[in-house]
Amino acid sequence: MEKMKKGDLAEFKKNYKSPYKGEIIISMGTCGIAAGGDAVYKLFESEMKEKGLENVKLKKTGCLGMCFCEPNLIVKLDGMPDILYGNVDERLARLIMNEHLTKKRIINFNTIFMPTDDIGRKIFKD
Amino acid sequence: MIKQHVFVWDPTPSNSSAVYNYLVKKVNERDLGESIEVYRSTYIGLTSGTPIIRILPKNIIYTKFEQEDLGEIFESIVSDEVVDRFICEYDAKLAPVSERDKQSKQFKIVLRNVGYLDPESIEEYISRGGYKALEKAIFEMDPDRVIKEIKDSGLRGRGGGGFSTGLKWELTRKEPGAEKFVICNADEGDPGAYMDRAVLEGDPHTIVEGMAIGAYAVGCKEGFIYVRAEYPLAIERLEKAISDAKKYGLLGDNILGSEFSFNLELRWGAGAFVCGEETALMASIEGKRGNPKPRPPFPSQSGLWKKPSFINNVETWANIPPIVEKGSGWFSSIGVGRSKGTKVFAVTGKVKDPGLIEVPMGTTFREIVYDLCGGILDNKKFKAVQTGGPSGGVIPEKFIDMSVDYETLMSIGSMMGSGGLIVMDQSDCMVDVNKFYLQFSVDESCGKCAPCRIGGKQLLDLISKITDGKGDKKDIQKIKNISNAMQKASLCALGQTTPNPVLSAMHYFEEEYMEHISDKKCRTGKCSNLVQYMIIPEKCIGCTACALKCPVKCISGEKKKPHIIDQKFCIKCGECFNACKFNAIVRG
Amino acid sequence: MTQTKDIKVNIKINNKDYSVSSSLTILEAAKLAHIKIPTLCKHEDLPPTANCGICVVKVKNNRKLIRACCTLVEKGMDITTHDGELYEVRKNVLELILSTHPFLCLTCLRNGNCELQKLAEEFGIREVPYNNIVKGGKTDTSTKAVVFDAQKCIGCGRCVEVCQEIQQVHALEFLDRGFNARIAPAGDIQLADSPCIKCGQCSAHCPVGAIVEFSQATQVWLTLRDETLHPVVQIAPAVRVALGEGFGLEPGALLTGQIYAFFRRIGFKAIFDTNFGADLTIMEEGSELIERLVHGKGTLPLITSCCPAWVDFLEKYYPDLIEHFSTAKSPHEMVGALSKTYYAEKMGIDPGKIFMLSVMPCTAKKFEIARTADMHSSGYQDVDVSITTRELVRMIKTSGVNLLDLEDEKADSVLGSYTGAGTIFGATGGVMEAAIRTAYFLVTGKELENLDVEDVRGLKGVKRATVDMNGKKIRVAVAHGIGNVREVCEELRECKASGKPMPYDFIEVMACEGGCIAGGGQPYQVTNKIRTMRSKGLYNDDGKCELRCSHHNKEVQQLYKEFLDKPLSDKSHHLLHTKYIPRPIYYK
Repeated sequence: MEKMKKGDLAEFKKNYKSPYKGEIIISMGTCGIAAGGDAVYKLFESEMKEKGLENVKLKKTGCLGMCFCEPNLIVKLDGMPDILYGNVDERLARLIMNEHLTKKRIINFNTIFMPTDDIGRKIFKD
Repeated sequence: MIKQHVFVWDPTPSNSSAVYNYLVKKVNERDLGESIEVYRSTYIGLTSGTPIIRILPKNIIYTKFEQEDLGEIFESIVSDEVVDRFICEYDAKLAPVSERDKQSKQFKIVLRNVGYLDPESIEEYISRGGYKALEKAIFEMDPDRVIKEIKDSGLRGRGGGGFSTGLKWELTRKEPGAEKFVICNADEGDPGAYMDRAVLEGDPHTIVEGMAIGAYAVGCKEGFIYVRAEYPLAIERLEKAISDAKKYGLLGDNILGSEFSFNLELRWGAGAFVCGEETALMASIEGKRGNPKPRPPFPSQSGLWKKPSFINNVETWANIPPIVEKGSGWFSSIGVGRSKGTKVFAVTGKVKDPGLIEVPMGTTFREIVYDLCGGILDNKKFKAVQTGGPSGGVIPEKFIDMSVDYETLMSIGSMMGSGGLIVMDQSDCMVDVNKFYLQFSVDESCGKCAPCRIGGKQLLDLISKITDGKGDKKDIQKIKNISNAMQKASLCALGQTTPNPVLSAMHYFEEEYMEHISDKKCRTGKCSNLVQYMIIPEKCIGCTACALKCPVKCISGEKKKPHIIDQKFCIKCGECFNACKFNAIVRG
Repeated sequence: MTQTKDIKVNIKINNKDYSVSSSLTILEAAKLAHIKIPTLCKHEDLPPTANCGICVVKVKNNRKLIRACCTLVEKGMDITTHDGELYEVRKNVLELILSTHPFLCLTCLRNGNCELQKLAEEFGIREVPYNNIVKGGKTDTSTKAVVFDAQKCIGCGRCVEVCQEIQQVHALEFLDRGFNARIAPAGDIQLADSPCIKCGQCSAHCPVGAIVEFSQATQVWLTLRDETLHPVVQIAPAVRVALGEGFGLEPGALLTGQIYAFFRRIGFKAIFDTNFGADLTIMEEGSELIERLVHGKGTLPLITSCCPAWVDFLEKYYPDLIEHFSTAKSPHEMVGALSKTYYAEKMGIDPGKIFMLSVMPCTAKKFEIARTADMHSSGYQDVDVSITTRELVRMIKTSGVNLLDLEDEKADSVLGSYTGAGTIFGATGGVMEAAIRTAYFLVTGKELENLDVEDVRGLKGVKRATVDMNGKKIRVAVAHGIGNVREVCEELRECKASGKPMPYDFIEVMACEGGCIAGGGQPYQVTNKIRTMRSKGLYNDDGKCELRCSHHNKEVQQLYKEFLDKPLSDKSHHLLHTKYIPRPIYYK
C-alpha cells in the first residue's frame, strides 16, 4: 500500500465502504477470550460458511466494559437495530446464526444493551 | 420488516413480568406481531427500582411509569409518538454537551472505539476518523498551539498523579537540546485495574496517534511504549498497529509527507509494579535496575539517558486525539472544577455488574455503584469503596454522594489513582483488606530506600499481628510513627502512599480496628483467629449436642437449660456451630 | 546531575539569608553555614545514592520533604533544617534502620568508629520499638582481603556506587527487591569468583561493619609472643601521612619516626622502610625502561606493576596487554625477598625464623603476598603478613603505647634508608616522578635540574605529559582510579587494533583514586581535600630529604655492589621480578 500524504485520510474515509451487509462483532479482549470468546469466534467462523452467511463479516474487537456478561457480541444487520447479546454459549451462538441472521428475528433472551450508543460516530462527525 | 422493537427490563427476578406480559398481550390482541416485537431484556444500560422500557430504533427510554400508564405507552408505540413525562431523566448539570447520550451516565471519550472496531484493522480506525487529529496538528497547527490546546483543555495525568498534561509538555519543550523522548506508561500494576489493557487491546491506534501528536508538539523523534509483559495480547496488537501505521506513512520518516519524523518502539516490563513510577520506568528502559531516582532533577529536565523526556499514562494519551480535533473548549466543558473530562473506572468487587465504565468527572459514587453497576451483589449493604489501589484510601458510606474528582478525593484521604474501584460490603473486613494491600506494596517495593523497604515490612508485621489477635493498644502509635516516616521520607510515591489504606481505614473504621485490637473480635469473620462463638440463651433448649461435640469440653450447662461456652478455653474449631440444629450459636 | 552555570543565588536557611553558588546541594550549602544536616548514606567522596532518607529537610511551598544530599539549591529557596517534625521523621526512619541491624556492637570491628553508632547517639535512641529482623547469610571471607558480612549491611549503596561508578569493576550489585534486597556479587557468587580486584575501596567507604578489611592484628600479636622468631617490619609511604588521623591529627602529619619507635617498643627486631624498596623498584624498572626505549628490547609503553589490584585487573580484563607490564615486583615484596636473603646473610640470622610484616594502605596486598610462587623467591614466603593502616591504628590502641608521646627514631640500616623519590610513591604520579628523575640520568648521563615534575602531580583522572630528556621526548601518562585506567587501556587497544603507533612510552597506574594515600586500607572519611593533604605530606617529606633521586640511595648502591651486582641481573630477576598469567574473566 501507498504511504499517505496530506488529504489522503479524508479521501480514504469517504471511499471506505464495507462490502458486507452485516457484522458480527465479538468482544475479544483478554477478558472476553478468558471467558470463552475464542471458542465462540471459532464456532462462528466454521459454521457461517456452511450456512451461507458469507455476506456477514465476522470481526473481533476489544473489551466493551461489560465484563459481567462475557463472552458477548454485537450483531449488526442492514435495516435492523444493533443488538448486543451477552453470556453467549454454543446454543445461543447457533440460535443467533439461525434466527437472527437468517430469519432476521431477534432472540428473546440474553439481550443486552450497550450502555451508550455508538458514541464514536457522534463525536467525530464531519 | 419489524418496525418497532420494544425491550422490557424488569427488576423483579421472577420470570413473570407484568409489564412484559401486558405488552405482549396487547400486541397479540391487535395482531401487530409483524410491526411490533416485544423482548424481555436482561440489561438495558441503566438500572432502576422500577421497570424500564427501551424502544428501538428511535432509542426512546421510559422510566417511572405505573401499570395503569401502560395503555397510554402502548398506544404511543403504535402511533410512533412519544410520551414526554416518562422519558428517562438525567442530571443536566453534569453534562452540558449536547451530543451526550441521554440514556446513560456514561460518556465515552477514551473508550470511544473500544468494542466498536476491529483493533487489528487500521482501515477501520481511519474510517472512523482516526489520524485526522494528527493531520490537523502537523499541517494546521504549530507545536506551541498544540501545547496550548492541551493546557487549556485542563487534561490532567490519568495515571494517578493528576499533573497538568499541557504544563508537563510545555516544561519539556522549553528545555534546551535536540534529543527528547516521549514515553507511554503502559505498565498497569494496580491490582484490579485493567482500563489501560482495554484501550491497548481494543484501540491501539489511538495511543500511536496520541504519542505522535505529543512528539510533534514537544519535538521528539523517538518514543517508547513501556508495556508490561503480562499483557501479551496488548503487545501483539500494539506491534501490529505500529507496523501498519508505518506502512501507511502515519509513523516513521516524513509522516503524511511532512517534515515531521517519529519512530515508536515497544519495551516490555518484567513484573515490577515499581516500574510504573516514572523514574524507575526510565531506569528500566535504560537496562538498569528499576530503582526510582530522587527528583529534582525532574524527567522534563533530565530523563531517559539524561535527555529531557516526558511520560504519560495510556488513558491520558487516548484523550489527546479528541482534544486536538474537537478543541480545548469542548473538553473543558465536561467535568467539574479543576477536574475536566472523563475518567475510566474498572469497577470490581461486590457489585452485580462489574466492568469498565467511563464517566465525566463529578459523577457520584452512588451513581457509579447503583446506577451503572447494578448495586451491591445479593442486595447486601454498602460498606466502603477503595479507589487508587494500594496507594489509595477507603471511602465510607457517608461520602457516597460525593463528586468523584481529584480534589475531593484527596481531601478525604484517598486519591483518584489509575481508576481501579473496589466495592466492599458488610462481609468484608477492613483490617483484612489493609493486610492485602500492604502485602502487595511490600512485595513490590524496590528496596532502595530504608523507610519503604523496612517500614513496609514492619507495618505488615504489625497488621498481621492484629489480624492474628495479638494486637495491643501501643500498636496504634507504632503504626502512626512508621506511616509518618514512610509518607515523609520515602523516595517515591510507592513508599509514600503505602500507609494510605491503613491510615484511612483506621480513621473511618476506628471501631472495627479497636474491636480487632482490644476485643480481639472480627465482626465479619474474615480474620479466622478472631472469630468468637457464643450461645444465645433464648434460643438454646439445652439439648447438649454442642457440649458433646466440643473437643476441649468448654461448654457447660444442665440438660434442658441454656448452655454457655467458656471463651477462655474455646479453640474456635466451630464444631458446636455445625452441631446446633436450633441456630442458637452465633459466630462473630 | 544537570550542569548549572555557577551563579550565586540567595537562599534562606533557618530564617537567615545566605548567598551561595547554585551548583551546591542543600547539604553542602548548609555546611557553609556551619549547619550539619544529619546524613547516613551520603559520603562526601561519592555522588549521593538517596537511600536512607535521614537528610530530609523542609522547603517552603513544597508539600513534600526534600532530601538535602541530592537536591541543588534554587533561587529563593526557604529551607528549614531542624525542627520538631523533622526530628520525628528522622528518628522514625533511624529506628526502622536499627530494627534490621544486629545488636553486636561490642564485638564488631567498627565499635567506636561506626557511623550508625554515631547517628544513634546523636538522636538519643534509647529503644527500638519494632521487631528486630536481621537477614540471614554467611559471611564471605573468600578473598582474604575484604570480609563481607551481609547481616550488618544497612543498604546505603556506597560500596556498589564506588565499585560500579568509580572503579567500574562491577563486583558488587543489588540483588532481589523489597525487603529482601541485598548487596552481593552479581549471580550471588563468592567475591573471590567475581570480578573483584580486592582494592578495598568498598571497605574504605562502608559506614558500618558490613564490609571490612580482613583483620590480621591478632595473628601479629600472637606471632610476637614467639621469642624464637626474628620479627621485622616495613611501612609503606602512604601510612606515615594518614596514621595520625586515627589519633586526631590532621591528614598529612608526618609520623615516620614515631612509627619506627612504636614497632621497636612492641618487640620488632628490625625496622625497614618500603621506601627503600621503592628506590630499588625505580632502579630495576628504570633500567627496564631503558632496555625497551633505548635498546629496543621488549614492547612500549612500559606500564608500572606495583599495584596488586591493578595487576589483578589487567590479568582479568586486559590480558592482551600483559607484554607491556614491568616485570618488577612491588616495593614491599622486594624488601621482603631481600630481608630473608641479603639481610639474613649479612646479619647471620636464620631466614626461616624471620617474620616479615608489611604495613600497607592497601587490602590487595593481603592477596598479593600469596599470589604465585614468585612471592616465595627467598625460599620462604617473602612477606608473611600484610596489615592495613586501620589495623595498625587498632593495634596501637591495644598495645597501650601512647604513640604521640614517643620520640622520633630511625630505621635500621641495610634496608631502611630512602630518598625523596621513594617516599612520593604513595601519591598518584609519584612513581612516575621518581622514575623520571632516575631515567633522565640513565638516558642522558646528566642529573635532572628541576626535580619537581609538577605535570604528573594532582588529582586529574588521567594526566598526560611529555618529558624532554635532552632531545629525546618521552610521552608519559598517569592514571588513577580503575574507571580512568580503563580509558587508557582502551586507547592502547584501539591503537593496537588499528595499527596506529602507541600514544605513550611509560604509564603509571594506581587502582585507587588519588593513589595509595587513599587506598582501601586507609582511615575512613576520605575526600579529595584529604587526598591532597596526605599527598602534600609526602611531597613535604620529599622536600626535606637530603637525597631526592633513587639512584643516589647509598644503601641501594651498596646492595648492588655486595649482593645483586646490577639492575636486571640474574639474581635481581630471581628475587625482584615476577611473571603474569592471563586469567580472562569475560570473553568477548
